[in-house]
Amino acid sequence: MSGLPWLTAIIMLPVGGAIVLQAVPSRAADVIKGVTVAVAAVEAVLVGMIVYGVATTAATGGGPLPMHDVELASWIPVIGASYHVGVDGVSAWILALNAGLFLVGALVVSRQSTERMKLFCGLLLLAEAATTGVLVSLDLLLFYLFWEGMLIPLYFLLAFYGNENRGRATLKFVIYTVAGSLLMLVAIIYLHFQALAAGHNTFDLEVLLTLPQPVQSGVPLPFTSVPTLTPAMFAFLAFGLAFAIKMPIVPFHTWLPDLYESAPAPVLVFFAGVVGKMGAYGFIRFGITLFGGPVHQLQPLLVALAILSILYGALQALSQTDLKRIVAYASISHLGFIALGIFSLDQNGINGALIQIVNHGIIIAGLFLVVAMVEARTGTRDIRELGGLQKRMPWLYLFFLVITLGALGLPGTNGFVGEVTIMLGAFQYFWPLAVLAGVGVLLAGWYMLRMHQGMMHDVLRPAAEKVSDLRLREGLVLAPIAALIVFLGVYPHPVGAVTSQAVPAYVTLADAHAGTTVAAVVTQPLTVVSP
Amino acid sequence: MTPLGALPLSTATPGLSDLAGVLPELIVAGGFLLLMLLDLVVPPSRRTWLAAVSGLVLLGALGASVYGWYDAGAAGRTVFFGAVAYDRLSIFADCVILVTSLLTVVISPGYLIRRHLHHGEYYSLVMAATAGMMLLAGATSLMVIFLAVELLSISLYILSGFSRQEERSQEAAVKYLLLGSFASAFLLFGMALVYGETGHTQLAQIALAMDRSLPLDPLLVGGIILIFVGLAFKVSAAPFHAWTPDVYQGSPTSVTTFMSVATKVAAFIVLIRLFDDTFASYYARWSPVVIGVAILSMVIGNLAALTQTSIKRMLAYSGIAQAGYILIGVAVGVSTVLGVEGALYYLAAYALTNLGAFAVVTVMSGRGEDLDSYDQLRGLWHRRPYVAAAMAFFLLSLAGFPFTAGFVGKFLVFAAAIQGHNVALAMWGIGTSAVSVYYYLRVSLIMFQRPAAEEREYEWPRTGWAGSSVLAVSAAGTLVLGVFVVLVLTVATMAHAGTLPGT
Amino acid sequence: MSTSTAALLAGLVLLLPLLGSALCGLLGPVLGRRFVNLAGTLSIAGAFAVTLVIFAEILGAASGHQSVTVTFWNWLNLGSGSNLNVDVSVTLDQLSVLMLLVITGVGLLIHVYSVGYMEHDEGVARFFSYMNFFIFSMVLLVLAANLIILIIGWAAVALSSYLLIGFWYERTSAVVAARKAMITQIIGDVALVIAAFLLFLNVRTVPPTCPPNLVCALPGVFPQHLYTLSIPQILTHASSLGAGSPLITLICILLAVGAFAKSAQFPLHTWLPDAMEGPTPVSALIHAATMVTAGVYLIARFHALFDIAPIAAGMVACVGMGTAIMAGFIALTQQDIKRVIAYSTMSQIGLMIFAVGIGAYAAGMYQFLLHAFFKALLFLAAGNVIHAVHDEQDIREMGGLQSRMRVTAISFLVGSLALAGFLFAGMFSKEDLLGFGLLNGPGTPALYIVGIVVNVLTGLYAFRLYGKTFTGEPRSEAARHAHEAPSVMLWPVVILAGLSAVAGWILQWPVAFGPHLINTFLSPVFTSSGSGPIAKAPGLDLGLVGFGIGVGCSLVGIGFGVFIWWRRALNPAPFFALPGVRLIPQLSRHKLYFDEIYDWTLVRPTRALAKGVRKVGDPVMDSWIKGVSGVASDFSAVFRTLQSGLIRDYASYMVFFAVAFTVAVMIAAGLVK
Repeated sequence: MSGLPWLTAIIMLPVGGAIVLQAVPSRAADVIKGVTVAVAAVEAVLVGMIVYGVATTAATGGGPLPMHDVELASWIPVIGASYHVGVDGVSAWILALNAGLFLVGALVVSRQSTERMKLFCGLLLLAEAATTGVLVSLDLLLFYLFWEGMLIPLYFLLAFYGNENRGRATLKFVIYTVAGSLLMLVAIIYLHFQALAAGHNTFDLEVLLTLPQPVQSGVPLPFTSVPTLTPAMFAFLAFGLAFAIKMPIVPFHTWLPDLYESAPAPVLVFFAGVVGKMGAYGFIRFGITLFGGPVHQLQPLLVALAILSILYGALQALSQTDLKRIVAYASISHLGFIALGIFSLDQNGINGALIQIVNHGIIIAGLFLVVAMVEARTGTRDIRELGGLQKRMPWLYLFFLVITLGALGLPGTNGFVGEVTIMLGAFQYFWPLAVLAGVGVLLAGWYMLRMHQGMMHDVLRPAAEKVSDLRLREGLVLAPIAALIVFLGVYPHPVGAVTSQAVPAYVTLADAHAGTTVAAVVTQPLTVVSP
Repeated sequence: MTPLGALPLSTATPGLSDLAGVLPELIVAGGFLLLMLLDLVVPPSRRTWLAAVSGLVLLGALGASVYGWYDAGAAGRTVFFGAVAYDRLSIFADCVILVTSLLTVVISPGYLIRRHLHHGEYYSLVMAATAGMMLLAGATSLMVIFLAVELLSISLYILSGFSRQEERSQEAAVKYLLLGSFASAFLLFGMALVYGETGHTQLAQIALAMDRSLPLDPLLVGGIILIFVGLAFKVSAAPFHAWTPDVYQGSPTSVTTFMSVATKVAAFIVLIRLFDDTFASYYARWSPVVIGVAILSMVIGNLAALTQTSIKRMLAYSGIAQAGYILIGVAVGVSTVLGVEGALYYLAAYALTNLGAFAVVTVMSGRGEDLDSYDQLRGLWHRRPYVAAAMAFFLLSLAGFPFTAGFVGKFLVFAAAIQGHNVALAMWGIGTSAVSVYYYLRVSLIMFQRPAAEEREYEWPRTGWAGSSVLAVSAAGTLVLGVFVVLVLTVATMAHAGTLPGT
Repeated sequence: MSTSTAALLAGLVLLLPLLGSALCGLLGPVLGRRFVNLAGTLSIAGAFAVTLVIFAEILGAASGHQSVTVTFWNWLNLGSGSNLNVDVSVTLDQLSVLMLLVITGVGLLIHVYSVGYMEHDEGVARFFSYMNFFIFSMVLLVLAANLIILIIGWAAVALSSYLLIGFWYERTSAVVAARKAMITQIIGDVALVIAAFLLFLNVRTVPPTCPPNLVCALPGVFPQHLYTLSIPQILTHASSLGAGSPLITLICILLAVGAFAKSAQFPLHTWLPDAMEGPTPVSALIHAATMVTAGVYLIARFHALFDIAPIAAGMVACVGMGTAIMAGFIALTQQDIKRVIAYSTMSQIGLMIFAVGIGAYAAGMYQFLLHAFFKALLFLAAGNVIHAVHDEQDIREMGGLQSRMRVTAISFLVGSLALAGFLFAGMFSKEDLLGFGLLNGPGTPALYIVGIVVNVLTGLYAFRLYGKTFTGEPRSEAARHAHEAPSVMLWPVVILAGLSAVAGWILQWPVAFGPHLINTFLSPVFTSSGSGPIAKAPGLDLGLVGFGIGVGCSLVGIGFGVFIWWRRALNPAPFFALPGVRLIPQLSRHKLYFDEIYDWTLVRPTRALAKGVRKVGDPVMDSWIKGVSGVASDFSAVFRTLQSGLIRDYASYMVFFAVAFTVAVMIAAGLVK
């Protein structure tokens, strides 16, 4: 795109919207919603243009990462922090997802369900600004600012709205996240002074990437051949913990089910849809690029955790009875797939992870919307009290069916695209991983069908006796989601084309300090078939 | 040992330029006398005028300080034969102190009237305390330091006992008085030792003497530590913090608001002056103590705050913890530039944020008993959304979330610690602030809850223009310091650069 | 045929059913039953017409130009680094067109039949929408020229089967059956996906210079890697995988697992009988004629791989034959008319799998074609019966229908004969592939002997079914008042009966006991494969001897069946009452206890594990947080007690620490000894 500061624009636009909202009288709920939707829509259009630009033009950044629309300005010169933003194939589609889901979130806010809509919409827009900032920041301090700042609007949203025991859940979430992030802050500062020692007073990711990695000595780490517990390793662990908690990867996930259970649908749409992906994004953008060595050394551990998340989440989802908890654990399982793709450190895997980030965002939003619509009608989320809704709600059934199929990764839906590429990446790293992931797919089929059929099929339960089908407004929200699930399933090319522009650069950076891991890839698969 | 009189003593008499150097202090002191007189003539129903007058005085002093910033210039100078510094550090402190006491004065009348405490001396005492603090911030002589400490302390003793009918207030006053004089004794003893060993009361010359006095001199070391103890008491750093919760809780809230912020600023400025400049050469000796105290404050403050049920006590402990964070900056201030700058930034941030938080409590305290227990906050969000939002914002800032002043302050001091190769210290800070998130957010969550059907809400007064403006100002300040870091950071840098006496 | 024509035709045959599905599903509920019936059937009629055109085109095409591959759009291209590049492309060749003919042709008949069968069901719009969608996905499956696209079709087929099995979603049994079927299919999908990975990473332009193992999978090490998922390319370069190598064996086994899941072969067969919960037309179309034979198609399609993987191929053959006899044995004692036919389907498909396993691809496809006719016929006829006796499916409640519904009975008889392999369709195909098995192929003659036993069993259960259903006295009110079905449900049956009767003769006649027409038609496809260890001509001249033996065995079975259940001349009951023998019918009745075994070994343990995880999982992972917060609050309590409120305490703290600090520093400085 042309030289205009588009990225600043998409960060500031929601903030402006939030400020404008304060001028609207609280009575005029429709006006408030209108403004919010309008802002979110304009934002989505702008992001769309940016993504189109990334897809069609060559990178202009000139840094180690293939960046577009770069803006660079001094921010806190004293400590060398800069305002450095840019977008590339890694972040482009996540930005689009972000804008899209916030638009959906704004659309599904209704006067009936939320009091103080003005506040809600304002916070929603602020949250959008923050997440957008996270996705475009190329300066570590700026990134941290948005990363942690994102919590403020989210904290208010989660604390103000939702069911009665939201307080504890929110508190747990915030403290857990903050604990992780603060460690990351230390690591960021450490990197800064490391750069300072090398003569660069900077927090700039792209500058840090160009610096030669100092040779560091340390204690040997168990279960690994060469590696050592270097400062770089600790720094990576700090970053990794922050991302792992936000993602979340088992065993750092315990904040998630309670939170998702207590949060209201409009929040969940973008919280589960995109905020949950920030951890994965962070791993790709910062984790594997800055810490190629440590990542490669810890790779076995990391993929093990990913597999654990897949299977653990799936088993939980299989035995839960509250719809929201089922979806929550299902998303943990899916995020395990994303993690698996990233930590395969293979181009297919990482491309797959990025594709899956987008696709899963769409799917999870759809699932939570469906659950909310059903709960609003039947007054329950207990799968044992539901059943036979298909008779009363054929349209909901149709959309829900598509979303379910996407969630269980049926070939032909978008869920499949990401999962199959991720599995290919994992397979190339170490073939049994793909098999274990396959088990995860199988379980996914099981728990998704259990949920879907439990709600839709069998004899009509009293709870579902007199419910009405979707209203037009609801249909118009679900229809695009379902349509996207199918479209991106049969034509994922646009996503893949964008992600694959950037991924090689990241893999190269990750492999820069790979050590002897190539040998690992060679030898592992030998065991498959050698007689 | 340096024989007395080895250094040339100035025999000239103070001139106008000397007075110009203490202009803000003079204005405030003048305000103190003026208000005393006015109190006699103003009828009790019109006492709000006194607030107005003191506000004007403080504004004037603020103006004078801003003028002084440029007048003193980057170099700065000492006045009254090196007894008082006329440099950007002191002026920076003056501005912060003046702003805080100004805001305090603005919210006071409403509160005092509700609590039936609206007596005229209040304002003159606030003036006196302010003057003492400003003097303390500028003091470059042991004598002046002690003088200033006593001036501010005595006025605060009286203020903390200002609510005569209330037992708690009286108790607070007594505690503060006795323990305060105890601390002053330590301070004085330390000063005596330092003087005895260096033969000087002026910091600059003490510094020179100390450089010469190396290798070490036990009594000097003892003196330094005792001085630190005395000042640590003033900034309510653990383990010399014990008085803080009781006094903060007992005193009238408006007084707590004032002393919790302003005192700390003044005391920290003098700490920075003494330890990061004058005693710099003994860094290796005192730094373990300062670091230890910093860690203790962070740990004790945050952990003790976890299980409080009184807002004022919680804020008191949080204040102790914050003192710990600022001490990090002081502790590494000698080896790193960022240390002192961070500490200064943190002071400004803390002043605005903490004042905001206490101001909320002050403004929301009704006619009945003081707003104090957590339960009295329950449901505030549904009655006074903006106040509750502001309070939540201040608490987030205290917890150190980005886009708030608190974050930048914490970031800078942690960065300083890491730059000073003291990652452990930074980790202590990280760990404790993670803990702190719990009790800060818990309070705000209580505000968002709906009170149960049977229990009756606390009757919060209307905010009023004074209250809302103060909250707005401090909230805006917290936000600005959190986003436009450069503004204040540059000022802090200049203040640090222009510090006297530069050794 | 030119690429553009092919694109047009393939596009049409894909889109028409999809369009029909959309119309029925979205507009059907609004526009009503007549519209649905029209849209639902016309779309398939159109597809059938297009198929005929394609067939003509291919017959007309010069040899060597009969196979055309068309690319529609690029599915995903991850660039040079990852090499993953998938096109949405289709292949038109003899094999796929043969499949198309059956899918659309038989499909059309069954759609017409459904118009009558679903007359009184209010879900008719949904039904036709699903059915059309099935046709679409089946067409996609057989046309796919890329493994990913094939997998997509593969899954879409599974989906439509799932939807149709659970069509009557208010029946718990139907819901469970649907889920069971779907999950079994997912197992197959996963196997296929992993096979696809192995192919993607190993197919090379030239035979590997390195020993045949996955070292060659390392991207960039061997520049001659193709990194392709396109089926034609894979087949052309199959030899690069190394004949008989462990790798090719693994790939073929994985493909076979996919095939087994789809074709209900041991050990993934248990879903098919339960699938009979769906409406009868569904059973006829999906669970007899087309979908369940997709496994056979898959193996035939990848013949080039199986040719050079003798171990895998042998395994396939054994599993096929094993399933054939197992299913035949179970079919003998089932009481549900549809389940009997279902097991017979399983058994017949077992034979097909056996055929493709031993390399008799053409024979397998031949059996597929004819089986499609007579099995669809049997199901539709059974549907008429069920309709007539008011949705009763238990043959113990039937009997004596011969006189009441003559046309159906005769058609059913034709079907049974064709199934048993006497006079009609089955005779040719089965003896063909058995004969092939006799002459060459692994396990000769053991498997062949099993095969002829299967023939006996087939005859037995076929005529047990006919006898119990149509002969003797009616055993229920419903059966007594049964009426012949309406013509719309009768005509398809009659047509299929006709086909079953004559198809075999026509295809065999011109070349009496020579290679049948299907063989000649398909031979180009199968000769194109790389030469493997088992070099053989496709199909074979079916020797008179083998033919004789086969038909003989079938006759034995038929004979016994007729005597026991039709003429009731002899009664086997006393023999099976004998102590040792009693076990046999019991095993058969309980389907060899497969459902129970799986339930106890797989389903229940997983459920238990899930429950366990739910109970302990999160608490354990939360425990450290609880620990930390516990410690913190303990400390907090300590500090609160220290905060006594007494001035003397506070003062003493100050003194203590002041002194302590001073002394400590002094000592540290070495100033105080």
